[in-house]
Amino acid sequence: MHESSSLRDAPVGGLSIAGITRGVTISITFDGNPVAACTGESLSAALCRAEIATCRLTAKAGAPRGYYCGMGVCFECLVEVDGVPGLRACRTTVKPGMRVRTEST
Amino acid sequence: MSELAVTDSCDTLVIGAGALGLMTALRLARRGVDVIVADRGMPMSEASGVNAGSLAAQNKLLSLIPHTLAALELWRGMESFLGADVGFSNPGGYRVATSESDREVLKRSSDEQQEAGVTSDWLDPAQIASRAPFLGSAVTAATFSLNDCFASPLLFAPALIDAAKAAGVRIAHSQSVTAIERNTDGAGYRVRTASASVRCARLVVAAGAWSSWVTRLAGVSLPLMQDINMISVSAPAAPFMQGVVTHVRGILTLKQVANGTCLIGGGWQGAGDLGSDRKDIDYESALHNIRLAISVIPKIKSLMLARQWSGFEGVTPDSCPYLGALPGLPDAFIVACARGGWTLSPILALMLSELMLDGDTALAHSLFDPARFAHA
Amino acid sequence: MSSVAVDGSVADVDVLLIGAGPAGLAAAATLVQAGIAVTIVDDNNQAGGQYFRQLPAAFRVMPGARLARDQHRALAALAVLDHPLVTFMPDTTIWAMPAQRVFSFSRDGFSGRLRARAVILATGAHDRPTPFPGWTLPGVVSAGGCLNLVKGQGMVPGRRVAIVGNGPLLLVAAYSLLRAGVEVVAVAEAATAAGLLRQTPGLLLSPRLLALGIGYRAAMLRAGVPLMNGHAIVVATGEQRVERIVIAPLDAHQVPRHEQARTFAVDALVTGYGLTPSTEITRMIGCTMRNEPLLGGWVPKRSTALETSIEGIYAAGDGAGIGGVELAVVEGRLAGSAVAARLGRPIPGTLAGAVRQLRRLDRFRHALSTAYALPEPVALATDETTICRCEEITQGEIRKAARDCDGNLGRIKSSTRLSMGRCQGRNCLVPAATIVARECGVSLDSVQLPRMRPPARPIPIGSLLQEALGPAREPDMPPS
Repeated sequence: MHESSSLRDAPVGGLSIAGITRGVTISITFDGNPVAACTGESLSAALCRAEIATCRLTAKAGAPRGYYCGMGVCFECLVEVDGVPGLRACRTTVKPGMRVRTEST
Repeated sequence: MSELAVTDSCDTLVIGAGALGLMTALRLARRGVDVIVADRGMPMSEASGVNAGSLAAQNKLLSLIPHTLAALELWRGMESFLGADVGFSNPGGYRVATSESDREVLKRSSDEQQEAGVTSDWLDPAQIASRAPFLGSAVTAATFSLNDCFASPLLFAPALIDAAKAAGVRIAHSQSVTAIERNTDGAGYRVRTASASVRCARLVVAAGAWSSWVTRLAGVSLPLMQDINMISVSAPAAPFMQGVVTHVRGILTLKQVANGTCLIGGGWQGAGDLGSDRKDIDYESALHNIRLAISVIPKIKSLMLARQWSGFEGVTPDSCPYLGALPGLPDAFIVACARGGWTLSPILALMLSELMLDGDTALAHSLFDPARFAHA
Repeated sequence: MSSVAVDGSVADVDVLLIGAGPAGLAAAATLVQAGIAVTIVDDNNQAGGQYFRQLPAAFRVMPGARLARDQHRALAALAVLDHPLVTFMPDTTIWAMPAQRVFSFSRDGFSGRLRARAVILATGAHDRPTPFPGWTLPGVVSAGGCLNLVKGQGMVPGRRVAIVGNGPLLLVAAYSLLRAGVEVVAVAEAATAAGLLRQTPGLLLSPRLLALGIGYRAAMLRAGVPLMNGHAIVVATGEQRVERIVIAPLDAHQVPRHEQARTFAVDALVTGYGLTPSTEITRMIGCTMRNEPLLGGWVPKRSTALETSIEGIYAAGDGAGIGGVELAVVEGRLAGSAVAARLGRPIPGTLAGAVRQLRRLDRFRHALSTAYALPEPVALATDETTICRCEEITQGEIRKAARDCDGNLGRIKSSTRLSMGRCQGRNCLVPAATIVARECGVSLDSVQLPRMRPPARPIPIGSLLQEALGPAREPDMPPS
């Protein structure tokens, strides 16, 4: 069996890896718009899968920033969740009805 | 920065490149004096560089109020005096009481301050709730004064350093003073440092918490203790408070600065020792400080703690600065340890420069006499 | 599994393990073997660290799907958490050490202190920050960030992805993405093929790992992925996220040769220039540190039994020097054995065996680091490049401050706010120190990093309300 063809055979549904069943779909919102998320995933994962790359705009230059290290040490993926600002999306697990907004501090 | 030559000379050597030392040097240099400033470390790296930036009148000793008001006037013009932004802001300040006895002290103190020129409004709980809704219910009484301000130590430091250099002041870092000798051939001093030696006609000790070490090298003994003050800083947050908040018992300062971070100070003591240059956070002390801050401004508990640090501050037995001629030595002066030295630095520097060059200065200074603790 | 009372008091534990990755889990397994109770804490909501990172509990891997490499090892390592002598505290941030072997933690809005008879720091590593123009654009993720998505969230960062950097982790990331069906448009490694080949004799010390690396390369080639050695990223551009990247060969001084640059369209860029030990805690508590480039940067000085310069505090795994999972596991065992001996319950034979294994793996690690070592540090940033991501400070501003402040990083920090943002300098201090050293013509070693003060990680202030404190000693302020 050629490994190269088996590597390329795995279909990619969006950005999810095939062969993994994600948790039950739940609904959250980002800046007011609905986003389909999966139970158990991080907020970063849900946003990335929804092609939302920008979590926040920087204080000085208003430059877009998003997911970078995935382990909670870079503080780039800050978002406002249910009114609470300054939370790291990569360290937040999605919950049904979560209201997420672009962070601005 | 300058490197000191093995033999160097100047008219005035200032020992200590903090706010008092550099301000004094700047004043002297702008009046034509040739000044070298030597510091054991980097300039503006001790109390002047690590304080919380408060410029308040309400938390000062009554006897220091005239000097504080004069200092605040100079702070208002600091940006043009130095030619650079120092982050000065004049939002006014709340001085708060959190107990019945506090409230009585606050009333008495604010009456005295009014007479001395610090105007303030007395706020009862209803007025506090409407004017300063961010203050918690633990605050039973407060005064508000437009005299309270703050600035940024981080902006002030390079502004002062640059202004001093532009005026011709030579600043040498990493030059701890090891010996001070009087010149045998006439007036003046020879001062040895870590790797150099400086001849000067006049000497100014502005070494903050280390001042008594330095004066001892010249044979003068001045009583001085060292506090280790702590500050806790939050991560940036959307604006939630205005004004500098101080506590009538002197145990809390709170402010939110331009970038949204919130600074919590108040003189709670860290752990350490000047001799070993150790200045650590005292864990429980810092937590008590933070809890007091939360009771005064409840919103603080929703912030993230980002950083803590501590710094040395020299304190005289009566909490008034040393300013004036060193006893028993010609042409040797001191300006140090004002307990609120950052606020007072512009006026104390101006006063010393006038004492040195004109022989007198307008504001009262006998209460700062370095010899005041000497026993007959 | 027992639990530690989280009621704000100081809890006494026998052994505190900080970090539940491969090293911490291996230490735990060794200690329970000696009958010693351990409390193992981790910042994350799951154990495993980065290397043994698991999918969320709500996810299921379908039968027949290819599991992550080493998943069986991960599960075996994680099994120790079910042992009755083990207390696992997830979502727990260690932030201060108020007294000897007393550590403050913050968890779920509570804080408290743990006092231990011995402590093993197994804090792991993070991506070594390597700034280049455009590295802050959304869609640019670190190699660790990419693997955290793959292993921890079952997804990939993009569909057309380039992978740039240096070091063994790069090919791991590239291979993971390839296997997941991503179009890997380019892989650019800074190390030259010749440099890598030269180290083959040393790499034979671990034939399995060598074969793994060769296998990744072969897979790239078979899949037609352009694998460019001696190349680096020049710039990443895009409107709101990365859309295009430029890769160029490096000359003998690690400077990109722009005239031979190639452009690729991407929707994500993975960048990894190696790992660097996470040393916030070791630096904060005052361990003697030394700069070891082959170990990934500043590391704590340790005895042969892995004890730091602070008595009773040990360090194991990537957090004490980058060495990969094999080495982390062996060091975890070694530290566990040393602690067991310290507590009067030595495990016969384990110490000597672990030391032997360590030596072999250490030599392999040395060869691997040397293979990827570059004659000079990669310097991809321009004066316009953001170095301090949190405070938005550019290389040009740092260079000017370096000149103004005579290379004193403490003063540079005060005058620019470098490292005073939320990440506490993790992403900027070492690149900034490198820039300062270059600007002032001094060695990197001589640029003193500023003292690390609490909190080792940012913590919610509200969590500090619950802790039981002694009576307040108010400062003695003069009467107004």
